[in-house]
Amino acid sequence: MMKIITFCISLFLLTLTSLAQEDKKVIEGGEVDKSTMDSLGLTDPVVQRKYNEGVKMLTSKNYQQAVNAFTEVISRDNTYTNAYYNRGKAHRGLGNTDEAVADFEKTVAMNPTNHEASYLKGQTLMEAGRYDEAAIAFKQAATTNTSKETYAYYQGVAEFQAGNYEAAVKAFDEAIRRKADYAYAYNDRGSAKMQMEDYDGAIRDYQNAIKYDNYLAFAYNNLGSAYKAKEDWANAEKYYTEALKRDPKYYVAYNNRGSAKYAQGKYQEALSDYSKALEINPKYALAYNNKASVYIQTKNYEEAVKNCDKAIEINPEFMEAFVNRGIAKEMLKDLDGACADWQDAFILGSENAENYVNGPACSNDN
Amino acid sequence: MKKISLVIILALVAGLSFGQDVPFDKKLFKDQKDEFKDALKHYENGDDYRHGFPPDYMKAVAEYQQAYKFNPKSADLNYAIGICYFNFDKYQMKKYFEAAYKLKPTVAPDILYYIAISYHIEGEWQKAIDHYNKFASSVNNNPDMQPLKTDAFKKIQECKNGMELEKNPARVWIDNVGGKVNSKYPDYAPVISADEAVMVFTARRPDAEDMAPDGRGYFEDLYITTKENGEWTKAKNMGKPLNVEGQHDATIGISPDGHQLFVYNDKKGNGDIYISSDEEGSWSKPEQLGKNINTDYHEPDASLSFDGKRLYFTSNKPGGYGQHDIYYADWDEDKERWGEAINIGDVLNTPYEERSVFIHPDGETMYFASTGHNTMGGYDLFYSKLVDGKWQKPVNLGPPLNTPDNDVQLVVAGNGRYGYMSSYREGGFGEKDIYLITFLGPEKLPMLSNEDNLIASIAKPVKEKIKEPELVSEGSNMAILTGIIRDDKTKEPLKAQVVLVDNEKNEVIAEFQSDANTGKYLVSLPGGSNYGIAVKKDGYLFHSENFQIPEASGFKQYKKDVDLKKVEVGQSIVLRNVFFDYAKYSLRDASINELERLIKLLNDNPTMRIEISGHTDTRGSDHDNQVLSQNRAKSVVDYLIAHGIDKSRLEYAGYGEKQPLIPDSEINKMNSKTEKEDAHQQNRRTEFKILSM
Repeated sequence: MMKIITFCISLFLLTLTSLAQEDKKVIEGGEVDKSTMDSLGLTDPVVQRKYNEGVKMLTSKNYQQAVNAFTEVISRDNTYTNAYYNRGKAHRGLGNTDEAVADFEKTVAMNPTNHEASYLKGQTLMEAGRYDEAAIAFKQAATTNTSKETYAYYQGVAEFQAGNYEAAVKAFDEAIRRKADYAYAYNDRGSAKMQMEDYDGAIRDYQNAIKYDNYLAFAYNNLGSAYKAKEDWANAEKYYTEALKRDPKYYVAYNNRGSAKYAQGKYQEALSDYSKALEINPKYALAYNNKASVYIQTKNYEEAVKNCDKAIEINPEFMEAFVNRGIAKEMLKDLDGACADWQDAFILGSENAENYVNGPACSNDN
Repeated sequence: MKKISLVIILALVAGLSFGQDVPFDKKLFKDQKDEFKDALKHYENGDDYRHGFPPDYMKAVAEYQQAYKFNPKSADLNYAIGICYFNFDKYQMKKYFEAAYKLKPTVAPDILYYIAISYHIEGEWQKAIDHYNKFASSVNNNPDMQPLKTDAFKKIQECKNGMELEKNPARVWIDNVGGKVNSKYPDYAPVISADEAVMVFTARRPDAEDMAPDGRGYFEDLYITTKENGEWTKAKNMGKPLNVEGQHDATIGISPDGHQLFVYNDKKGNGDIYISSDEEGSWSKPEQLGKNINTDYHEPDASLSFDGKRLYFTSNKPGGYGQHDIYYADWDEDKERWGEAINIGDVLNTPYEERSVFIHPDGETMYFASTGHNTMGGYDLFYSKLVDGKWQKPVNLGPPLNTPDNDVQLVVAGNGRYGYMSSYREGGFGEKDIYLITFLGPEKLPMLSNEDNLIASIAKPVKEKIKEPELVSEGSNMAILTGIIRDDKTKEPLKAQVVLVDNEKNEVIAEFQSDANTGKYLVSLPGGSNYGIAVKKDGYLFHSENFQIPEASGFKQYKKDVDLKKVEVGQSIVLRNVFFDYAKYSLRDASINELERLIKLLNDNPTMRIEISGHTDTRGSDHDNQVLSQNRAKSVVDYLIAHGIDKSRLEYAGYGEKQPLIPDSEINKMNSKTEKEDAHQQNRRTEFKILSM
């Protein structure tokens, strides 16, 4: 009898080891080798089998089955921290934010040094758009582990997403303190400063981002936008162009460079940049809207209407495109059409459109 | 021999630069005696028309053209044709003046002046300036030419004005109002009611008139058109008594509500302003405006203020700043006539002509035509704003509304967006036509859309913050209230009195009548006041409305049909102009006018017993609302008792939020905050009801 049990355990352990090696590559904290089991005093073979089944399911993204397996583990042995941790991951995979968060929290409660659980809780909350809570989770991870720069960085990202730009700057400060050449953190701190309209501060940060990683097309683009915000069109154009050298398919930068040219009255050049953006991404509603703006400025109202039509077809809630189409239609003497577009723009939040709707163009039956 | 060659060469050179004048001299046409005789006859006929009294330039040109066919190389004939065109179609004259000058530079001392004008009206500013200068130096010592020389210097300035004004053309559309209004005959001088529902204009058509002796077609008559479903109806001759056969009858102005029409009459030979009204259902025989307005001099323009209390007009009587000036006179309530005329002052009036004054119903904008100020040639149209009681420096309305030629008589609708004027343009129905001017207002700037990859670890770009372009308010700062007044039961239109009250000042601003035939009324409400409106008619309960029009709110048009209720037991009305302090029950002074009306009603009906009731909106606690509404109703009753109404005739009740006019279920469905606020406002009210009589 004893022999049989020993055999079974040996066989099981053999399987487990190979599984664990595979898991290790994929899932952090997922490994279960003999020493771990021993240290946790795991002796129930059913628990062991279920646990490993859960890990296998998690690896193969069969999240529901993983959740079932880990739940069974927990029902038999609720002291097993990794089961909560892994079930948290499986719940995250299923989009069960509350369940995932509860499991990560349980993990931390059982093992306060587990910073990874706090970090994953932060990511889970971010994915659900619960940025304020995410920021707190990342902060907890960053406090538990005082050297990992990514925890401080993601705290900054969450604060940024929550609109807490000052707190974001502080978190990115910490990330940069932990890693002096952290290009992403410089870029994102610059972005937080942009939101606070500290354009000079933003420019310094974006320049550092580029210094530490000269291939970051988006950091060049953002630098251009910081200059655009300062109405320094020459520098804006220059850095958008640098962004495009690093990523020739970067339609966002084409669209932005077009707007820098537009602001200088270089409408034909602007038009060609907007068109390039559309060549790369034919569904880029913003560039259609901007083309329409050029056509309004150059009094080609029919073309303006056509481009707004496309922008609105792609994004039926595109406020600017409704405002612009209204302007173009007014100039084409289609007052009914213009006023209907402004009415839509007003509902989508444009204050100017509200004024147009209440203005003399829309208050007469001429 | 050498001498002869030299002379020939000189003659050829001269011929090349000046051409060769070929006068109508029979010696030069020995081979064509008959043709010459015929052409000369036409030439002489042309001279007779041109120098006749009055001159007939169109007929003169027709004759001259016959002579011109025979001999186009006569400097004098070219000059004569040029002068004729100058008087009725300036765009044709340049060719003839230039030919005359080339053929014989001394053809007339003023030839360069006319060439300059030819360039001027084409907007060829620099060429015009050069020719005016050339003219001025060519007539240095000619005393007869000094007035023209002074004029040339003025015109040089006009050209410079034109160069400046062309840099910023007005954002307007100019559209023909269409064949239902315009005809192939001259149609001009449109006037409109503030809501563009009625247009009256002058036309020279053959349908009711003979040819006039002035050589410019048929006698002038007044025509009327109304707007139905956004379209002008076919214009009709207004007939008697406005139009008199064999007499010029021309429009000058119309009151903002369209019920008083000013017409021009030249019976006395000096041009006076007459008025006609349709208050009794048809247009009355035009009457003189009285001595304070009409003088022995020329009074050709008039415009009435929104409240009918001030008349702006023009006159060239002595004592002004030169030529026609703008004057105004106030209605004297006691003497029932226009008061003394006052010159509007030298901010608007110049030593030159000021004509076709139009006061906008917003009470703060005046349009007029002037040959002074910074005109770009002839009359230009200007506007001035009244700020703190002072007219500001006039602003040229700019091209394309103004041209180097004469631009006169613009009228603007209440909304400030649409104006009407007449001009002779290509693509019209013939001769002068009436055009709709659309003032587009400040340019509406398009909105760009951009985004950035702000977060390094997130691929989705973030949209840049939307900054909406800064707005300048458009249109006039005023409101127009229109509607139909009817009998509540029969729905028959009623001719009633509409009283406009400034609630803050407690003053009656104006009284209007609704149209006897249609019941339609129109009241203009300039921005910046709290207006009370009471609709009254004997035998009916008055109806009251309240409008708060902010100072710089742009234009709004309200439509409010009013069904007047007969004075009968059980009828109730809302007292819209009774105001209380916020959350209190003390009556505000602004309520006095409305309460006076109520007292009058009770005095007129001495046995009438009424109930005053208070109502709140549905916000706030039920109990508080109940108490507040009851106290407010009592305040009104107390006021009535204090003003002599017997206590036994009055009851009061507070209904709190129990009887809303617009229930919450409907308010919740409304889209905008303003709409909802309006609905709550409608629910907060004081009512009275006739209990017995």
